[in-house]
Amino acid sequence: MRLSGNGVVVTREAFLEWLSRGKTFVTETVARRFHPPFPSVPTPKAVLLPQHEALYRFFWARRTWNVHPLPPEGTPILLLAAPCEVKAVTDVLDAVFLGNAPQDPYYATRRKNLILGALGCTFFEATCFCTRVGGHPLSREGADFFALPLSSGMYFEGEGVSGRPLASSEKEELEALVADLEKTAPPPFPEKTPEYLYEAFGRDIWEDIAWGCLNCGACTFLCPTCFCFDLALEGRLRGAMIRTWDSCMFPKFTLHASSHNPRSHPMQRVRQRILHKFSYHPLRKGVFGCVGCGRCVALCPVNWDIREAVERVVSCAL
Amino acid sequence: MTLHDAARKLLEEHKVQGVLGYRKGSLPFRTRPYLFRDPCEIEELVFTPFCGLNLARYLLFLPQGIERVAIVAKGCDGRACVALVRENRLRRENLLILGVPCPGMVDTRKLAEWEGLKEHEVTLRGGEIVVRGVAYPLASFLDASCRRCRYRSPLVYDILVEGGEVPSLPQEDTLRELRSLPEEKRWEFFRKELSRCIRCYACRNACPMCYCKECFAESHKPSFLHPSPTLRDNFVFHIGRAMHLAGRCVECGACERACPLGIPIATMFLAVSDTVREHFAFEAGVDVTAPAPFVTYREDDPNAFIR
Repeated sequence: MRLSGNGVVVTREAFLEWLSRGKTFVTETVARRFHPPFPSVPTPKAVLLPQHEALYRFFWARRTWNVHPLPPEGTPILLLAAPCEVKAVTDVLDAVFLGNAPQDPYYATRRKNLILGALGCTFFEATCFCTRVGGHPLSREGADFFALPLSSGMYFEGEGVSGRPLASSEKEELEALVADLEKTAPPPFPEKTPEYLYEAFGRDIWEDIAWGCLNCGACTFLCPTCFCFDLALEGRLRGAMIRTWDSCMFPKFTLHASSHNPRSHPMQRVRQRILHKFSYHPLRKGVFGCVGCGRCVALCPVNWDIREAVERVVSCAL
Repeated sequence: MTLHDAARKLLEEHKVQGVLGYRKGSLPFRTRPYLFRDPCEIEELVFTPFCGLNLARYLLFLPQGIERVAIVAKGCDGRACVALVRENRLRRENLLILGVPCPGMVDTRKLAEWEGLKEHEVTLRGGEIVVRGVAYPLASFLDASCRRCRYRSPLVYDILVEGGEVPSLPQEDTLRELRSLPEEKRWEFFRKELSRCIRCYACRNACPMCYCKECFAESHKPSFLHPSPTLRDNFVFHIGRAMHLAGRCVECGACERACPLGIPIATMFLAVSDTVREHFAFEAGVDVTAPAPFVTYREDDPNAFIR
C-alpha cells in the first residue's frame, strides 16, 4: 500500500470547499469520475506547457529590430489530477524542463505556482495501464496532497484540512480497495523492456506494428508526458516568437533545412514514439516516459494500441 | 455469399493479395483496420455498427507487394473508392470492392456515457439497438452523417455480400436545425466548436479524400497559417479543407469520428456537399464518369462567372 493510512476523513462538501479557495482546475479524467464543480483541462501539461505561448515580441522600426522579451508569468493554480497525471509532471516534465541546466524559465515559473493534488483511482478502466509502467492508482508520490472518495466521504492526506480519523469500517473499505486493485492490476512490463526495445530498432517488425496508424497528432497532443515543441515566428515586420506543441507523428517534425528528412516514412515516426517513451527516456532518466494513463489508447481514431506494440517488440526479444 | 466466405475465397484463389477489413479492437466496441493476407486470419474479420473508419483511406498507403486488393466497403467507403478512381489515385482493375449493406454506424461517444458498459451488453436487433436489455431506436445512437446517409449499400461493387441486416431508416436532414438559426448564432456555433480544435489533424488524416503529399496547413513556403491553434488559424484550416473537399467529400463522417475532442466537424463538410448537390446536381463518388463540377469547363455554362 502506497498510502500512509494516517490521513483524515472529511465530507465531500468540505473537501470541495477547501479546493475552491483559489484558482482551481481539474483534469478531464478527474472531472469524468468525480464531477467536481471546477473547469477541466485535458492534462496538467495544458497548464504547465500551454499549446502556444509568446516568448518575445518584435517589430521593425527606425531601420532596426525592436525586440521585447516577454518574462515568464505564473499565477497560483491548484490542480487536481489522477495519480498517473501527477507522475507525468514529477517524473517526466520536471525531469525534462528542470532536470538539467539551463532550466526552462517559463515552465519553472508555472511549476512553482502549481499546487498539484492527486485523486486516487478506485478501479482500472479498459485503457488504464499505470501499473505496467511503475505507477499505482493510489500513489501519492510527488503530489502535494492526496484524496480518495470513500462511501462515507473523502479520505485526505496532506496539510491544511482537518477531519476525523478513519473509522474501522473505513479502514476495512480502504484495505478491500487495495486488495481489489492488486487483483485487477495489469502486470508490469519486463524489467529489461528499455534494452529490448533499443536492440529492436533495426528489426523488420516495425512496418507491421505501425500499419494502421494514421500519423495524426491526437495521441501526442493529448498525452500528459509528450513535451516536444516547435518555435515559430508569427508575423514578418511585427510579430512574436511563438512556442507551440509539436508532434513526432508529423512529417515536418524532423524536416531539415537541406530538405533531407531522417524520418520521412510513417513507420519511422511510430517507432520513434514508442522508443522515446519506452527506451530512450527510461535509459536516460531511469523512469518510463509513459505513465500509463491510456489517453492515447482511448482517443486514437483507429484503436492503435501502444501497449500491444510494446508487448509485441518485447515478445520478439524474449 | 457471406462476407467471410467471399473474403476467404478471394485470398485462397489468389485473386487479391490482401483484404482490407475490420478486426476486433483492444477496447469494448472498438474495431480497427486490418489488412488480411492469410486466409486463416479471415475468422477475425468483423463487420459491426462500430466500423466507422473509412477504409478507402488505406488504399493509398498499401504496403509494398500488394498489387490487387479487396476492400470491405459500406456505402461511404464505396463512394470514396469511386471518387479515388475518378481522381486517378487508384486503378479500378486493381481494386475489388466487397460491398456490405450498412446498418449505420453507432456514435460510440453516446455509448461511452454508460458507465462500465461491456461489449456484450450491446446488441443490434432489426432497427433497434439493445443496451443492457433495453431497446432504443437505432437512429438515436447513429452518427450524424449516418442519419442523413443516402447510399447505405455501395453503388459500385464487384461482390455484394448477403445477409447484412439493413434497417430502413428515415433520411433525416441533420443540418436543418443549424440552418434555421440566424447568421450570428451559426457563427457562434462554429466559433465555440472550432476554438476547441487542437489541430492534431486526425480529421484530415482519417479522410479518404485528403491525400495531398504536402497539406496547405503544414506548408512553410508559402505559409498559409500559423502553427498555434488560435481560433483564427483554426478557421483557416477547417474552411480551407472544406473548400478543397467541395464536390469531393463523400459524406462518410470519418473526420468527425476521428476527432479526439468530439468536435462536430463533419457539419461543415456536409453543408458544403449539400451546396454542391443543390447547385451542380453532383454527388462525389456516385458515378465514375460524371464530370466533376470544379474541373469541368463548358462554354455554354449557365453561370456567367464561370464562363
